[in-house]
Formats: sequence, structure tokens, C-alpha cells
Amino acid sequence: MTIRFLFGPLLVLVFVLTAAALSPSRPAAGNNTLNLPATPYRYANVELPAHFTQPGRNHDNTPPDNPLSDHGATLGRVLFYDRRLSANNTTSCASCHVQAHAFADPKPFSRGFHGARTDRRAMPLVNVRYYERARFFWDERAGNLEEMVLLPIQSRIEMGQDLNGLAGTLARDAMYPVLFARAFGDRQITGERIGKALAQFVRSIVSYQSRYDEGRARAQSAQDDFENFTRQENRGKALFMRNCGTCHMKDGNEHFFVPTPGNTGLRGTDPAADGGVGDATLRPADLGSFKSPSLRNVEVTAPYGHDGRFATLDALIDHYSDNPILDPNLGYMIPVGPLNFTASEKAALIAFLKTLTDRTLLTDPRFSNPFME
Amino acid sequence: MTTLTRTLLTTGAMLIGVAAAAAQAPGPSPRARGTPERVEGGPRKAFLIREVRSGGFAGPMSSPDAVIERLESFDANGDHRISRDELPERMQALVARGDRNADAALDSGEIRSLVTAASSERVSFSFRSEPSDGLPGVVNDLKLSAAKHEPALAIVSRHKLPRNVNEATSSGLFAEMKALLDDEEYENFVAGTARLSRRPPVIIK
Repeated sequence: MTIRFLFGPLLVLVFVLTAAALSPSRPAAGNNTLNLPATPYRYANVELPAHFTQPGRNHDNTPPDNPLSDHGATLGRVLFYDRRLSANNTTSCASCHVQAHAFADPKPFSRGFHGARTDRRAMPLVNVRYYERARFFWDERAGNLEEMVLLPIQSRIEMGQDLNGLAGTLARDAMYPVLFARAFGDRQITGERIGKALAQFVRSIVSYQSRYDEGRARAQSAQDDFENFTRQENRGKALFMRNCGTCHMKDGNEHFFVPTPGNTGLRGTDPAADGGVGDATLRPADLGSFKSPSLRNVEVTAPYGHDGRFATLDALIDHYSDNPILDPNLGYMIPVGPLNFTASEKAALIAFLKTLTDRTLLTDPRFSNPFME
Repeated sequence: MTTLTRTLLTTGAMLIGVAAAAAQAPGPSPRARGTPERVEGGPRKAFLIREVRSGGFAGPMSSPDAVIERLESFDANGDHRISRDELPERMQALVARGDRNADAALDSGEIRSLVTAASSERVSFSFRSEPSDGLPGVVNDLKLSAAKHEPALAIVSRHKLPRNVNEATSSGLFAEMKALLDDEEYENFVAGTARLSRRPPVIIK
């Protein structure tokens, strides 16, 4: 009998400990002890595949006054995971941008430092360095990455911090003045430098080691069948390039961004629905347009859409395949109609999309929580 | 009608359509919502022509009134003014942008001015057809076995792209393909051919 009474709590304890061990890295709240390598990880000058670097394929949005450095990105990594960037020390960038989910939020709507719900979900942060327009957020209201990374920190809903106050807090910390000196040459801590360091870290998050990249490296062109793909994956790749590549691989871009915001009927006909880019520009033509994240790692970035309305890849593909889409701005940029994929075509498309998953990136210690738990 | 004649007629129709739309567009006033103009140029040449001016777009596009309606949807207390607190945080900067009388809110006149100014911004882009490899492309996408691939290519080389796949499934092309392919492959061939005949790929330049 005693054993039976003990068994239940013991099972719960094992379950809790296991769940804690498996949960995504959480930034330190009270524990500010860092676990950084003696020699910084390599973030700058990483050797990238030819399909990223060939002439005409350089879409890098790194500004001349904020080049990526190993020390700069290291500082950015620490800031990214530090919950002290929020007003009540509960929320870091990583709270919503989760490495295991390609730095997207697995929740449909992200929540801020007081638990309040935002009206959109945090976007994936993979390969944003190669979004050539260098405009960020679903509505592209931020004109560069350095600006973008500071807005959530100052948001009254997301992190609620005052930048000057934050700089003062970090200046009084034992580790930050050293990290800023390594990154910028002196110990001065400013809001601008916080933004630059965070932007460097985010730009360093580059996915290039997926099965797609392995196959692509051995193929003459993206159109060729890849040796390492199954027949279904190659069929999905061909279908994708013919029907989706017009937008997602424009001019052969293999970062899988749509190069400009697009309207794919997500807004519908509700006048009160999220206006996307139109909410920022107030241009009628932009109403219902949204920036699209890279499709790299799309397998792990569910739910999909600015409001997470598509729980699965199947649901996402169904939207473009089967649904009559109602929106006065639909296809303003590019005619998007029901593509009427068959069941086996949908399965092939999903099989292909899963080849874009980069398991190395999802567990890479360079991008993980540097705080000791 | 020869291909050249058809191409010339299509191009002429497109130019006339665009010129007429531009001539009729009185500044930024919106065109009523409705069916988009469609210029037919054969099954693979047809695509939508839309006027390249924000706020005066030919075809179904949101009007400035839609943006005004969107902003007014935030008027939670019904006082016909939009204050910062009534807007999502990401839109609150609009108040500073349009608040001419400095009362910390946007009234209907200020909203209309903001939207009118934004609507007059020109949006320029153009379309171009993306190269298509036609029915052989549909066959290639099927990733057939070597034993079926070449025969399938031979079949499609003897046929033209049907204008309406639903009505053409009993034609020689589909009958021959059905005899060659298994059910799944055939279903995918029909679907691919339908997409090709229905919607030519078009991209922005």
C-alpha cells in the first residue's frame, strides 16, 4: 500500500523533471551566470554554400555601420536571452522567438511581460539577414533590423522597458561592460549599441544545412532532381517551383522569402480585420498585405500566418489549394487562385517543405541560451 | 488566326485597356469594386490587367473608404474620434502623424486627410509572363519511372494544351495518358494540366 501511495507522486516528479529537461531553453531570471566559450563562437565569415553566394545572390541587408562580428553577435546572444530586457525581468526575446521553432513563437498570438496577448505572433528569425528589402514585422513598419529589435523591448505590451533605463541597468552589471567593450571597443552602453548587438545576433541566424542544401550542393540547378531526395520530395520540389516558386523563389532566391509583402486573402472581407501593411502605410493597395517569413524550417514554425490561423502545413496548403479566397485586394501583386492540388500533390509538397528543416540550426549552441540554469 | 496575329491583337488590346483605364481615372478616386478586366489572348496568354496607380486601380481593389472604415473600426467609445489608446500599439504613431489640431486624437477629417495623402502615392510595377515548359513540364513534375517518362513525353508532344480540361478529359491526350499512367499519376497529370490551362504563371518585374 505504501509503495502504491509513493508511486503516484514519484511518477509525477519524474514527469516534471523530464518535462523541464526537454523544455526549450529558458532565459535566466535570477541567475545571471553566463556560460560562454573562452574563444567566441564563430558568427562572422561563416562559409556558406554556393547557392547563397554566387553572383546575383547576395541579398544581404547588413548595413556598413554594423558589420557582423563574433564578439558583437555574442553580446547580442546574451541580450537576446536576458529576461532583464523586460520591465519585470520575466520576458526575453527568446520567450517568443524559440530556437527549437526556428525562432518563431509556437503560440498563435505572442504574449508580453504581463501576460497580455499581442495581436500577432512573433515571426521566425531565420535568414532575415537576406530579406533584401530590410523591412521587418508582418506589416514592415520597421525600416531596418537595428530598429526592429528595439521596438519589442520598448513595447508597453511585449517587454515594457525604457531603453535608457535598460542601458543603466546593464552598465551596473558585472558582465555587460566587458561584453560591450569586446563588441564595440569601449564599455559604453547605449540603446543604439543594444540594437546593433541584437541585430548582429539575429543576422547570424542563418539556415544553410538542411537536406535541401545538401541536395542543392550536388545539383547543377535547383530545378534538377536532388540525389538525396525521395521521388516524392523531388515531385514536391517540382510542384513547389512551378506553383509556389513564382513568389517564394523569385529569381531563384533560395532563402525562400517572398520579396515583397503580398496579399493572399488572409484578411477576407471583414472591414475590422488586421490590415497588415495597410495599417502602417494607410494605402488602400496595402490593405491585407503581409510580409512572409522564409519557408526555411517551416516544418517547425507552426502555427502559420500573422495570427497563427493555420495550425498545420496541411491547413496552410489547403488555403492556397482549395478555398475560394475573398478579398478585394487579392492578387494585387500576383494573381493567386485556388491551385486545386490533389491529395498526393499536397503530400508531395509537404514532403518537400520538410526538406527545408535545418536540424543543426535548431540545436546549434551558438544560438542557444548562454545563461546557466 | 495565326499565333503572330493573336499576339498582336492581344498586345493591342492590353495597350488600349491600360490607356483607357488611365484616361478615365480621375486622380486618386477609386474605381468601384467589381470583376477585373480580363484580356483574353489564348489560354496561356490571358492575365489580369490592373491600373498601376494606388487609389485608382482598375479591378477589384480596396478603396480609400476601406482604409477609413478600417480606422473607424477602432472607435471603441463611439465618439467619432480615434485616440491613441483605441489603436493597437503598432498603429499609435498614426495619431501624431495626422493630429493637426493637437487634441491627441484623429477626427474624421484628419483620418480622411491621412488616407487621401497615402492613397495618392504611386505604386509602380509591371507583370511579365514566366517561361513555361507546357505539357512536358507537367509530365516532368510527375517524376514517372523511366519506363513511363519517355512514352508520356511522346504522348504530350502530339497534343496541344486543352483550353478546358474538364471538357477535354475524354480527348485523345487524356485517353492516351490514362492508358499509360496509374490512377494517382493520371489524377496528378489532369490536375497539373488544369492549372497550366487555367492560370498562366505571371510575376512582377
